[in-house]
Amino acid sequence: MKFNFNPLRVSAAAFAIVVAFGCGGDKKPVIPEVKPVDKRESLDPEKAAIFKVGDEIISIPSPVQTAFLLKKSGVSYRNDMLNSPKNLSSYSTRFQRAVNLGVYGADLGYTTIYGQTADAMNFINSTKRLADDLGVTNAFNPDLMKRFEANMGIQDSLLTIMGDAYKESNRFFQDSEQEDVGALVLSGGWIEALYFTTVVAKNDGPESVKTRIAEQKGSLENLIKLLQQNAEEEEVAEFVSELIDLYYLLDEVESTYVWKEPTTDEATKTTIINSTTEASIKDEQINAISAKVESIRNHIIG
Amino acid sequence: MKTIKNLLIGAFILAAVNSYSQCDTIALICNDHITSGFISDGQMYRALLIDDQIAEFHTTFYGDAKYRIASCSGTTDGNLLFRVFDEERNFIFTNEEYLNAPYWDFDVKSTMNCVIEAQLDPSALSSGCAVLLIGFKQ
Repeated sequence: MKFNFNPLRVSAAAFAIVVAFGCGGDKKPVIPEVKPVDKRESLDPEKAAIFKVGDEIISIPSPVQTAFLLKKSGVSYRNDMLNSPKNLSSYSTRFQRAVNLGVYGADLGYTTIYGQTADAMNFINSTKRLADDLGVTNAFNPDLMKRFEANMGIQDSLLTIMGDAYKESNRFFQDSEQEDVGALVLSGGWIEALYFTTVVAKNDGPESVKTRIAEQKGSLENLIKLLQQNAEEEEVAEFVSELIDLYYLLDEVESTYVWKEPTTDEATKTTIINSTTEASIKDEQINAISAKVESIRNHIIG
Repeated sequence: MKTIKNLLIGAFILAAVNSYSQCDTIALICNDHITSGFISDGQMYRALLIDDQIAEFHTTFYGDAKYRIASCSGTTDGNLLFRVFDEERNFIFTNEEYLNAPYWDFDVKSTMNCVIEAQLDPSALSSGCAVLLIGFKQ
C-alpha cells in the first residue's frame, strides 16, 4: 500500500483513532479521506495528466541554490532586481503576504550569498514582518533575529539560520493545516529565483544561467500540482493560470535525459548520480520566458 | 449527545496534536543529520505510516550540487527505509543496503527530477511518523 507525504494524513489518522474507539455521533465531521495510491498507476507517467494532483507530495528547490549559481558563474550583484522592502506595506491579503514571504526569502538568500549585509538586514526585517502578519511567530522570533545579526558576514551560519526559519514556517503551515499558504511561500521564492536568472540571461548572461532556466519545467510542474490542491481562491487560481502559461513556454525547450548507472561509495556514504540532462534554450525562448516571468512577478510584488 | 460530540472533537484535536508533536520531535532529531555544511531546503516532509505503507514525494535535484537526504522515524536512527529513483523509475539508491543509514549524500552531475519513497522498517516499527529532510551544498 502506498501513501504520499501529506500532513493531512496525520489528522486523518488521528480521526481514525477516535472512530476506532467506538465513538459514534449524529454526523461525521468532514475529514479528508486517506486513500491508498495504486502503485502501478503512479509508476506510469503516461497515465497521469500533466497537472493531476492526486496526493503527490512535492519538494521545490531552494531559491538559495540559484543565488549560489549566479555567484559561482561570476554574475555581479544587482540590488535593482530585488523586491524593494518599501513594497511591504502594500501587502494586505493572505495571498500577497504569503508569496512575498517567499520573494523576500529569495532576496534575503541572494543578498546573503553576495555578502551584502545592509540589504540582508532589510530583507530579514521584511520577512519577519510578513511572517508575523501570517501568524508565524516562532520562525522569526527575537532570538533568531539576534542570531542573524550576530552572525552577519558568516555566510554558512546565516544560510543555516534562514533555512531553519523557513523550515519552521513550513512546519507551522502544515500543523495549522494551511498548506496552501506554505505552497504560496514556496512559489514566491521559486518565481523570484527564476526572475534573477531571466534578468541575467537577457543581458548576455553565462550559459550556466541560461541552462538553469531551461531546467525549470520539472519544478514548475511540481509547483503547479502543489498550488492546485488549494486553488479555490480567485487570486490563487489566477496565479496558477499564469504559471500554466509559463509551463507551456518551458515545455517548448528541448531537453534530453540519459540514464546512467549511479556509483555508490559506502565509506563516504555518497552516491554519485551519473545520469545527464542536456537542455538547450534559444534566445527567443529566453525572451518569451523572461517576459512571462516578469509579468507574473510584477503581479505578485505589486 | 452534545457532550459526547464535544468529547469526540476534543479527542480528535488531542490525537492530531499528539501526532504532530511526534512528527516535530522526530524532525528535531533528524535535523541533527543536516550537518557538514549542508543547508536545509527550508521544507519538512512528513507522513504518518502504518505497516507497509509507502510515502512518496517528487523533487528536482540541480546539477553540480551535493544533496543530503535524512530519513527518520521513532527516536532512534535506522527505522525508516528510503529509496531514490529517477523520473523514469530507474533505481538509484536505497539505504536498506547500508544498514538503514539515517542519511545519505548524493553528488548530482546534471539536473534531474527524482522520486523518493519512504517506508517504515517492519522489523523496527509497525507505525509512526516518517520524516524526510533535504539539505544541499554547492
